[in-house]
Amino acid sequence: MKGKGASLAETTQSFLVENPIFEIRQLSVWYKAQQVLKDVTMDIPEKQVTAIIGPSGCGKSTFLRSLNRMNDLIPGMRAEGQVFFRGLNIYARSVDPVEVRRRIGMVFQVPNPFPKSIFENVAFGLRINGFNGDLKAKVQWALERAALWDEVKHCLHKSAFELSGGQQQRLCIARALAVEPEVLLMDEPCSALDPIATAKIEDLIHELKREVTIVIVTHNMQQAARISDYTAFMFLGEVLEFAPTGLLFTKPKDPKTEAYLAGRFG
Amino acid sequence: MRRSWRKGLGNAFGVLATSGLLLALLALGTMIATTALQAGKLTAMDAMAQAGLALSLRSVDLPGLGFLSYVVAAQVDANSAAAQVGLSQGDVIVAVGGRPVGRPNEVWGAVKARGEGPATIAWIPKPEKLWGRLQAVARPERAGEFCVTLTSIPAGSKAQEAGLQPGDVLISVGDLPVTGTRQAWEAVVAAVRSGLEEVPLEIEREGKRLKLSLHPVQRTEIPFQLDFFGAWWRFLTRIGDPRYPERTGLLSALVGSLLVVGVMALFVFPLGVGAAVYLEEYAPKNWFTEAVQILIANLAGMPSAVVGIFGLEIFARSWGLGRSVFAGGLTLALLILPQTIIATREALRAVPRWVREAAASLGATPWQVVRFHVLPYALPGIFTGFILALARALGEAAPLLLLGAFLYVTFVPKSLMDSFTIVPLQIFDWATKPQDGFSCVAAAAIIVLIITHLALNSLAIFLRNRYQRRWT
Amino acid sequence: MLVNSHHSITSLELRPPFGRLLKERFIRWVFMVCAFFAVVITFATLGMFVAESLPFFAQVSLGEFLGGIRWAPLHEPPSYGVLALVADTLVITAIALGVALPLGLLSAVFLSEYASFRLRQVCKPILEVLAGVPTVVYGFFALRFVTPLLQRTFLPQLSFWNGLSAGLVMGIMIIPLVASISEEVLFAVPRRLREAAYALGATKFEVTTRVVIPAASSGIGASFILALSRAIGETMIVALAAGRTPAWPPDPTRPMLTITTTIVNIATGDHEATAFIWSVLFALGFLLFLSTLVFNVASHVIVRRFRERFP
Ligand SMILES: Nc1ncnc2c1ncn2[C@@H]1O[C@H](COP(=O)(O)OP(=O)(O)OP(=O)(O)O)[C@@H](O)[C@H]1O
Ligand SMILES: [Mg+2]
Repeated sequence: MKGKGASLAETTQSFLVENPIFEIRQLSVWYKAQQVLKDVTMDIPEKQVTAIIGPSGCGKSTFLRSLNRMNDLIPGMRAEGQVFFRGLNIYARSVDPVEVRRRIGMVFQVPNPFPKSIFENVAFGLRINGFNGDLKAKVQWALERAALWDEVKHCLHKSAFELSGGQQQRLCIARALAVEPEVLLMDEPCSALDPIATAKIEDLIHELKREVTIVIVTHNMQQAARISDYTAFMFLGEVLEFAPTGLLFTKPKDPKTEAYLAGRFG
Repeated sequence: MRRSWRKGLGNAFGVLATSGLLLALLALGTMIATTALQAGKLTAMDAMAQAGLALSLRSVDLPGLGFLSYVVAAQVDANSAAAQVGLSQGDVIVAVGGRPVGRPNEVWGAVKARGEGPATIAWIPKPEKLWGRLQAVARPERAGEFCVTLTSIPAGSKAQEAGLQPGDVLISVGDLPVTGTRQAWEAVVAAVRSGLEEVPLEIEREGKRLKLSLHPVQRTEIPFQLDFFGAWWRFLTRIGDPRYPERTGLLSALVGSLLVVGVMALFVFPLGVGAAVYLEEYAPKNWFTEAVQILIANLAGMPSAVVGIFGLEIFARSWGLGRSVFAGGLTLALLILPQTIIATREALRAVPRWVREAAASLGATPWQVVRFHVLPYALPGIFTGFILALARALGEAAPLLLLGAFLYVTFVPKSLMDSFTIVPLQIFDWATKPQDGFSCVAAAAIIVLIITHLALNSLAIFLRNRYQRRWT
Repeated sequence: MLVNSHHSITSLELRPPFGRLLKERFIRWVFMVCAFFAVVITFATLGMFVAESLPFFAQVSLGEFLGGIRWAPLHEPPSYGVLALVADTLVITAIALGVALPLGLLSAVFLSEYASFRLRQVCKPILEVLAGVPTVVYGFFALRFVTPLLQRTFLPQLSFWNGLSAGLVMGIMIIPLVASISEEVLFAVPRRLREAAYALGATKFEVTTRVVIPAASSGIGASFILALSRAIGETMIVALAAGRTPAWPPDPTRPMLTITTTIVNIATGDHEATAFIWSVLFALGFLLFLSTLVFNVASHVIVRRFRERFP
């Protein structure tokens, strides 16, 4: 098998993932001349919650966005290395980023529903994917999975902007779930929300991980500890340490991880 | 102490800045007000035209009297009110409603001042009606000299009333020696214009000198209707006679403008939106795109004369489209396209990045992102820009002036290959005409142009305020 | 191309469906063609001017063209001194800018520094609307109002066609342009700069003249350049009000002939349309095109710089 350059033994990953959905190999990303990701190599396990933590500006969002090629939308971005999704390098020439994004959904830091009705928000992904089943039923299914159905079932045609922040974020999750992605990438999904809305989303993540793989970026270390199975610590564009969450929080190997967890920087 | 000095300076500056804006607005206000004032004569002109009269200015330069202008009836419609009271082409109108008039502007001014209803018109019949045909005959007694004689006196004419007979030789009219047939009559007009009711004549009949007096002025009443809306309606809906301001109309220019702008829109809208979408949504951000952007900004600032030369050379001459509506539309399109691209890009840029990202993260292709999100959300902005572009196109004259759009068009263009004129060019033509009345119709056409401009701009502002999305 | 046996996805499935790929490519291509139109037009214009004015420059030396002060293409012998036209153009432009720059800048300062938010909201669209009033309207105003007014008041010797009223009215026309661009750059000067100055005890006047205007100076300069290029290229006002005889030395109280009016004269057939007079048209157009090109690119670059500094 050509391509998978570095073996895991050389990396910061302290454990072997049996069932990796992503195998990331020496991924480097540049914005114009600035290198933002440096030789990231790690495996992300399927149907688990993987959290990415690290100080601001260390490249967490960039890393997350390179998993579904959202970075391609940024002018001046250049990526090197490989990201194998179910064994297939998504940065290979023959791969279409649009197809990648159909399988790997994303939820953003600030809730960003479309300026349309609640129903249309969820239905959009289905429509463009050529869904030809029962649209209403599918929308309901997605809203239910995002634990939003009960709150909006009477006002599906209201503008999505009229929902509260937490509801909007769950709507965005429902929107992503509607197309049944295999992975859900979440970039600080709770940072714009109050504690109650945050708790709801965390519960939701717990529910969802039975069916989808979740990679979540968070600034909140308690949150990472609460919801994730594995945690990666990033620093200046590198993954310094990647371990099961319990292990990373209790026995960090890297002194920088320890310092960060102790709140000495970031 | 020092404090108050600084404060005073600051206040003075504030006042200065305020007055800067006020002065600017004042100048522009004056412009619109004076134009409206100029157009005010339209109703009176129309009243005159409705009575069947078209006027034109003549002047005489007689030794001893100097330069005098007078108004002749250049056309009198059959069966019109004017024809019924006996006026015919060539008669001279000397007073309206008791006011002496020496040029068409004064006639219309008098009609306007007089108001609705019948007004007395004082006029001098043309020579044939006044004293029949005059003849210059050689004097047998003095070789090489001519004298002017009357040949036949029309029955019931003013000459008959004065006692003139066929064969009489006109020696002087109003103390001016008669030197020619036309001059004799002009001397009558000049005498009346200088205030005489009775024109003294000296004639020679059978070798004897006689003094007679001629009352050349006839007075008749003509009913005038000052019909504001009718006047405007007729002005806007007729092609009219381009020679006379009171009979000319704006119709062919209006139709020409609509057609040309229509052709322009047909090209500009798809091309402009397409180019903007490419530059904003598809183009890689590199030096080439940047260069294209600068080119477009520069095209937008290109003087309209340059665009006109391009249209003239490429569309009219090379492509053989001539001075047609089609060539005009293309030339205008060239001028408006860059502006549309810039406005559309701004509208597209107002759609936040996250909308594109959210759609793309659901697996939308670039086209789906544009088609289902960016374009629909940017549509009000695009429309606003487009309406403003239409407004600009309707007022643009220079490129089509160069293209050689006809200034006299006495027909409505029916196909894209017909020649045409447009409202601003019609204004240009009228404004440069020296005859009385044309500046009034030019002003009236300007009012039409400004109202259209304001209406389109208000619509654009309304659209922008009403449909502008707030991205929260 | 299976990597792990339990994976069932093959590379084929991350490939776009062929039809969709084709459609996306086609649409992209269509948009691209639209955008390249602008490029094509610019180069076509440039090419046309170069090609068509060649006969002219083959016969008339550049020195004679740019250095001569007598514009008399129809005399025998003809003389093509464009300096006469340039001088007339510049005099009218100077008059216009003399009106537009101070008034425009003061209006901008008022709107951005003194006016209340509401007033600004009301005045800005008014300025925009005024900026778009057709120029033929301004030309009519100059010819039928300003000239007679000046003749009756200050300048009885003013001729019917003259550069002065054309310049004054052109100035009025350009005010909204200067005002709206300058206002935008003044308004874009960050609050923190102003607040820093206020914190030092500066008055509003001092903040405006010593902090805000200097900070916005490049943008204001760009608006001035744009005004200049606009004035040079303006056609209808001068064609209506400035007359059609070149004046040397330039005298704004007499008829003046600008570059644009000459172009109009030639194109509308005031001159005999011989092949050579036609190439004169292109030589003049080229001159106009190049000069406005320089100014427009300059102002564009300056505004961009400004935007980058205060985004
Ligand atoms: N669109 C972009 N263009 C250029 N540079 C960028 C862009 N986005 C991010 N960067 C740079 O890349 C680096 C990493 O950014 P990234 O957003 O990935 O950090 P992050 O870890 O997500 O930070 P935060 O916790 O604040 O969200 C930063 O230095 C940032 O300045
Ligand atoms: Mg981030």
